[in-house]
Amino acid sequence: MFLRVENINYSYNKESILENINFSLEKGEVLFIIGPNGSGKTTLVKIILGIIKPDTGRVMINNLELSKANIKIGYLPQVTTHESINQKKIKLPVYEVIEQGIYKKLNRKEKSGLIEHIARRLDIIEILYKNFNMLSGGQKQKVLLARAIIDNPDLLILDEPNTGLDYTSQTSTFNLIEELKSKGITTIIITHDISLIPQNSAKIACLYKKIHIHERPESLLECPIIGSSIDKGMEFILHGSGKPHRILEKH
Amino acid sequence: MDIFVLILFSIIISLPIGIISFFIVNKELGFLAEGIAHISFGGLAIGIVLNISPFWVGTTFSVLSGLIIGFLVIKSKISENLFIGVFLSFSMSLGVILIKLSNNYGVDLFSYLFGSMLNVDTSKLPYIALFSILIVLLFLFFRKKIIGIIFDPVFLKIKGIKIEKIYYGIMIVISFSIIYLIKIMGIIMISGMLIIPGLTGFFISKNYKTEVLLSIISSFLMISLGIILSYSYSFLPTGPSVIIVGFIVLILSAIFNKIKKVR
Repeated sequence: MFLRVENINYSYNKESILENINFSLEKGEVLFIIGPNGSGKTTLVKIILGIIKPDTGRVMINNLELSKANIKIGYLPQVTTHESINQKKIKLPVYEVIEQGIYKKLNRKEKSGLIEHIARRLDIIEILYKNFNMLSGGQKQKVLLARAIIDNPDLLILDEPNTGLDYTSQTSTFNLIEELKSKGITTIIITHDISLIPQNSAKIACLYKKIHIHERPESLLECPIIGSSIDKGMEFILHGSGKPHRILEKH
Repeated sequence: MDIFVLILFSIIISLPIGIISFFIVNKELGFLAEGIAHISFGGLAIGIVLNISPFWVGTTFSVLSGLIIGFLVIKSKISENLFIGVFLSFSMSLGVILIKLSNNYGVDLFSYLFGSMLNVDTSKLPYIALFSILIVLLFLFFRKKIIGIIFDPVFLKIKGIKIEKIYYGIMIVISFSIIYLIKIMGIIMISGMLIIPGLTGFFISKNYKTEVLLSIISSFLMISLGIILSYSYSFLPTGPSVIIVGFIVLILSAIFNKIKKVR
């Protein structure tokens, strides 16, 4: 087993945020975590990344603690909230932001080749030498995504990857997730956008303090959070194409 | 004192000041610089009262306070500014009471508060030069990590980089610089000294690399011109002269920035 999250409990100001979280992922598996705002999604991710210490429980990677596991981690934070990254005024070129995601030692030419390749892939080549703080929210999101995936990480965590993206970019993120899956990168994706979840995705987790793992999208309908959405008048339709879609007319 | 020695001193000291100022401005640590300068006053007072080297007692006090504040910045969920505010007034109060009790009130206090270029110890210039070169080399060597700490420390931490060690290292460097500059610049003027060059660089640069260079250049301009003014007109205290020159440089850079944007 590549990743094991064992008996995680976490509370803040005596309020329970996460209760008895247990799940595991094989190498190359993709897990979507969905849940409403304040359900503890980002907290869980921060615990997995070692940024927050849980009250109880542990996270093991290849049977080792994260600090000893010696793996490459790619992380796309929520650009709007992450440590005020959105408000940082430092005049840092996009090139150097993406470069932060490279773990392996490379010479200058190899490094620029790698950075330009990922910039073309995410359609940000034209802003490569612009300052990060001058970009729009969607462009920042793409740059941070490039930083997260540039070095083919062993574990990739994407926190709301669709935030601020236009429809075309959302589709390209969707394709990218499929591509990462085929590369065998173990990925955890946090989203409240259910359309991002491919039909053939291996695992989907509903989180609200406790976690419920679903092996098939259909079983999502049993999830209490989804159930409450349905009660509010939302209807879920399962499509076969596996592509994200928008319904343009009422039907 | 020879004016050329003072100019040489300005060149040497501008290098670390420019770099530190760039960090303080971009990490938004202006109040921290103010805090450490005022906190070190307590240490200087203990040194004066006990007749132990005020420089070293002040240095210890200043470095320790820098580390404690650095620790609070990393660990605390409460704004570090609140802790700095408390430490600052406590240490200033301690310093004033100690000096008052020792009946030494006023003796050295004015130069500690407002600085004097007479306190530039020429015999120590080679050591200051070494310190400056060391800061430049450390900055060049750790540039990517320092920029990472400013931009996104969490990502560096996830990459397994021990950001706490780098952060504490930076705090020690800032504390050392402050305590050295206190007798020349004065406690009250230090924070301006550590903010104005970086802010000037920020106004007129297009990227962080030119920002560091411009911060060093404006630091040199304000220190050298301020010292020359204080040297030429003995009634002008050094610290305020440096800050007034710096303020003019800052205003000019802001106007330049505005004109550049309009064009």
